[in-house]
Amino acid sequence: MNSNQPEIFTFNRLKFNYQAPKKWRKYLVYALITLVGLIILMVITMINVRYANNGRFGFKELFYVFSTNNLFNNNKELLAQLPLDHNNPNNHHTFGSSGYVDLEPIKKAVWVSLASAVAGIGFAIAGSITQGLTNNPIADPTTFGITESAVFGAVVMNVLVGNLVHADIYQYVFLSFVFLGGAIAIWFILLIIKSGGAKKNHYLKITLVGLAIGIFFRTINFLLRSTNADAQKTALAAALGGGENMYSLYSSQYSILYLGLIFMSIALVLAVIFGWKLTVLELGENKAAALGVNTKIVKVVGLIIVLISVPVAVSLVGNVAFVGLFAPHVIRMLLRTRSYSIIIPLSALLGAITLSLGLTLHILYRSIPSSIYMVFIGAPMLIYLGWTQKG
Amino acid sequence: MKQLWKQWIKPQPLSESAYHQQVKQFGYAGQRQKDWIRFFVMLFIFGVFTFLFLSVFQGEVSFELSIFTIRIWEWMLAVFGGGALGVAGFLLQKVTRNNLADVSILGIGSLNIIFITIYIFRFYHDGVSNQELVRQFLPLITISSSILGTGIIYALAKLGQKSQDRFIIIGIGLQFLFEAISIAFVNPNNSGASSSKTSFVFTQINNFALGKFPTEINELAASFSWKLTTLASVVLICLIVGVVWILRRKIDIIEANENLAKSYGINVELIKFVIYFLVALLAGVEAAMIGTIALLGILAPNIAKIIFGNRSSTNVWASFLIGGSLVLLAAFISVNLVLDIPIGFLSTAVITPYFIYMIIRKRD
Repeated sequence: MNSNQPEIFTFNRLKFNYQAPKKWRKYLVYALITLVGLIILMVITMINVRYANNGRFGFKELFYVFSTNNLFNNNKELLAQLPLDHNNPNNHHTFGSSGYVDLEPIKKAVWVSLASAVAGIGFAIAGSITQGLTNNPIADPTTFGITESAVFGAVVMNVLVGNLVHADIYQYVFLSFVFLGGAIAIWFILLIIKSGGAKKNHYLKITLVGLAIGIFFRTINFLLRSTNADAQKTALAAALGGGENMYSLYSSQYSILYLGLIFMSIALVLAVIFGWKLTVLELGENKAAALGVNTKIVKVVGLIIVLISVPVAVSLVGNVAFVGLFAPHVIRMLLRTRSYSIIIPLSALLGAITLSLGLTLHILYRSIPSSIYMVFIGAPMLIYLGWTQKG
Repeated sequence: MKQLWKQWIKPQPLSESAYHQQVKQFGYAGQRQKDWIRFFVMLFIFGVFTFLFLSVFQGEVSFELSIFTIRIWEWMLAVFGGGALGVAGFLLQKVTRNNLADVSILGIGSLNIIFITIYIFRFYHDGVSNQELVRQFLPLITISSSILGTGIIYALAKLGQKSQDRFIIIGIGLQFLFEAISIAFVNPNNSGASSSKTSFVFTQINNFALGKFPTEINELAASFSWKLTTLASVVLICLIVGVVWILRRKIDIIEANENLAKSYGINVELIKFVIYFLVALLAGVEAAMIGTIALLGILAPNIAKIIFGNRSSTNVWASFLIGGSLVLLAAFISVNLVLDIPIGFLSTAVITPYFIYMIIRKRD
């Protein structure tokens, strides 16, 4: 990006003509942006929960449910006293007087909203780290085929042990197989980085290899899906993407969500800590080594973060394209920075917001899954990046 | 005609002057003879595939006429569809000077699928005669849509100051975008049409999107109008390959150096425009025949390049033959060994590992 050229000089200024002033003002701006982003994310999530299930439950009822129950245990006695909103025509005595306690729709709405946000964080982290590591402006879990290979892992799990696994541990086995699947593509990126990275291999070549890997795994997924009835449901849901499709795959959905939250927070913290080393690495390996950064460790840790974040995201929302591509680039363009310790957290926030927004759009137009909207944002972004790329 | 035979086809004995001429032209002697031998080997392999495809049905050899009459049409679709993709990829690679350009990667294939979807939704009503009619005019729709897609790419390439990287990235972006649009279109919840129509339309669109032979091939093989359309497509493909062969020298010179070509008096822009137009025609005709076969257009010309070197005069035929043979092999497997697997997917599964190897092995 030519517009970001001055930032490199900022780095130099840090080293050689150190100027202390006005740094806090910049960080104040970042903190404000983070705050606004978090508020937007919360509002979108609330809207998603409120208007899921055809807007069946009003804010009043939802507030009552959340204040009296946690989503593990249904407190039936308190639910029986639920003040029903009788002005709402969609409300069919789901709570209260009939004695029938039906938390399932609310559970699903909450799960899907949270899963979308968590997965958005994961894709955005993975996207920014792959962009930094391979020095490739159009790097992304999609263009490297990581999402497709992770989906492949899920399908293989269903083919091999889908019937044998007990329902209680199903999600853990699922997650571990998705990890293995994602590891295939990541191993491949490792090969590319080892063979010389961006200097020897042109970035377009790396991208094309990644796309070819993606097509290959998609093909194999299709073959498995058409020959094996067990894998059909998983393969369809995961290939189409969107939390609303993935929800029905698990028997106890919340355990995988909490697991994903834990993994994702680990990945986010690691990524933010290692962010500045990625920034230095972008200057070139020799310069980074001269500035005291162990490039090998940065690469390994970066790949480990990708290995954690993408499979978790895929197991939550399936194959969602391009979030990792556009989120870091939008942040770079808006804030005019190349510092990864700023790009990573903010792009994670942006990824969460956009995926949640996709879910809102899906709630508005039911026929299009939320993952497709990401392509509608990401593909023009890819075209724009291609357009502004220097030959 | 006589001169053509003397100059190009007849294997010439090596006199001393001819030897020197050949050394001058190709670097070493006996190139043309070697080319002929390679072509015969390729033709032999192609013939074996053809024989297998036409004679073996579901694991057993049978020469029944009833099967053969259907088979011959499937054979035609497979060979000429694959061949058209191979030649289209060859032309795109020559004109963009990028050996990874292809119809499927640049988004033309997905645009075709969108147009096929809209067309079949709009014009199909229940009934056999209507179905034939829809099939009959399908090539026109796909040709116009792929002219649109190629036009977009041509305009972008012109505006983008001829940078190959931009070209490829924009193509990939368009591909993803069109794919998303077609998924949004093809969703069954979207339409309020009757169920029988919907199911028919979805089988059709699936066939085109995944690359399958038409499911109702039995009825189509009996329909005169469909046969006529298919034959017309085949003739069109042959004509296009002929035109490319006539332009072979100019294409080579333009690929080598545009300024040199201009100084030779070649109208570079016109030739490029013609090539893009031919690519659009090939992609459109192919889309109406089988549908999407990803990455074949990259693979066939590159294998041809490995076998014959970078010469248009041989590589047009070679990429046609290789594309046709690969699709034929995939069709043979899908008909006999693993039932009901789309050809497009099968050939992609065969092609992709080689494609990855091809990209990695090459060092700039």
